[in-house]
Amino acid sequence: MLKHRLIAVIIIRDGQVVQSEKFKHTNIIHYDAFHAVEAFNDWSADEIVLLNVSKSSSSQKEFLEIVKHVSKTCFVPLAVGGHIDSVAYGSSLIFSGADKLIINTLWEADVEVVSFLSKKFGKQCIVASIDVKMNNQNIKEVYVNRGNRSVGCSAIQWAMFCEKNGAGEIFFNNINHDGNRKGYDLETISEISKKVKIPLIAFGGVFSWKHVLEGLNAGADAVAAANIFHYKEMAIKQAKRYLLRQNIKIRN
Amino acid sequence: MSVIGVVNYGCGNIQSVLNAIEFLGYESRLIENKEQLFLCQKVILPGVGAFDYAVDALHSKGLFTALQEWSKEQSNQLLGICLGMQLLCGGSDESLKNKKGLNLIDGQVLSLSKKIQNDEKIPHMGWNAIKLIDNKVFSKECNKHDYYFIHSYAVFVNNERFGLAKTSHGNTLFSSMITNGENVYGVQFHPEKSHYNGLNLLRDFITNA
Repeated sequence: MLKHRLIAVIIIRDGQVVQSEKFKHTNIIHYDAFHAVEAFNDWSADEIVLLNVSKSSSSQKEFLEIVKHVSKTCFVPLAVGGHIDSVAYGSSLIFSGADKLIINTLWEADVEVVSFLSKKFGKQCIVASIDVKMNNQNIKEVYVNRGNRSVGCSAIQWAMFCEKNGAGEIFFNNINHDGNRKGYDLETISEISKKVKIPLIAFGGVFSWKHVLEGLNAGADAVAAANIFHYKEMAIKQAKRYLLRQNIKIRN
Repeated sequence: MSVIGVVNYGCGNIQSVLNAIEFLGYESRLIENKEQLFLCQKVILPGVGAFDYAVDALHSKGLFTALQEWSKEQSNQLLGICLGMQLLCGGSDESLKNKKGLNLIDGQVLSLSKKIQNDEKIPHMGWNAIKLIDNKVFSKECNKHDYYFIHSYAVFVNNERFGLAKTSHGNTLFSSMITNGENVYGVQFHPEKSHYNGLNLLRDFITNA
């Protein structure tokens, strides 16, 4: 029987691990990506996500070096994202030890490039990162480019578009929930999971293990969190013990 | 100390296979052509990506027939991982042009979406258990653990003697480990990405096969 996955997310800005709150990344967490990955790997995270949220694409090279370094001791799947703007850069991340590419803005900027990467590496390698937030008319819309540009459609429409164009998985976040400690956007998670065939990862807003359980109950196949894993010793093991007690099928 | 050859046909993340071998304390060597293949006795055929692309890439490097020839020698040991396991079979549903696989193990590669009856997600992605039969290479301890799978096609052996382990996704039972009964093995999951239990399984291949 396939287990649910618990995914640890590490957010990196200009080479440093940071905390995320509504996509502002002001708090630096004082340990480097290498030690974070090493700890999460040891604590039985089912997968590790590394996101480069630096403002400038000049951070690409530095991020590539981080991927190369952390993948040496990462023996669980490693998904990486941020500033993937070409076949060349996406490929170099894969050849540096990444297992999956998390793609956000490029779906809107140049979907042909994403489809090409999907054909080259297989669609299991392409994760569609979908961020939603409320627009000024109070309607939930998908935004790209670190939450700055609306694509003018709903999460479901965008999820189906990505699935059709080569995504093997969806990584969903609601910017209004990001770092707000109130749990995932369960409504949208439930909607997307009913409409797409590919696995869905919930992200954004976890402050208790109960939030993680809610995400799974809403229909997510996998649940991800960032901030909470940095501040609790052995946090991933704690989360798994909680989920096992709730009869959730998860790797021990 | 044995050197582990890793076939490089230019697709996907083979760095993680090299990292795992290094972590286990063995030396690895990339194999790009026939000559390099015949210098190794233990070889891993990794695989991420599409079946047709991989078959073409192996042919263009002269490695397709070389692998068939090399594996006839009983002292040579081959382990195919994920797509690398599927390539050991005769062909695949995934092939748009009906390309032939290496045909070292008698099995078919079928699309999981055709097999699965209910609303299980495809790809089969995540951690799942295996049911391994008694064999001389891989420890039965494996049955206590989960391994990381990520695939949309799966192997169904034509004769049970080629099956080593089975895994279920929903109601569908497929072969998660196969062998020709002699020197060729395949695993559908990624031992190099299945944490310490996966590394132990990789070590079993290196030391026991």
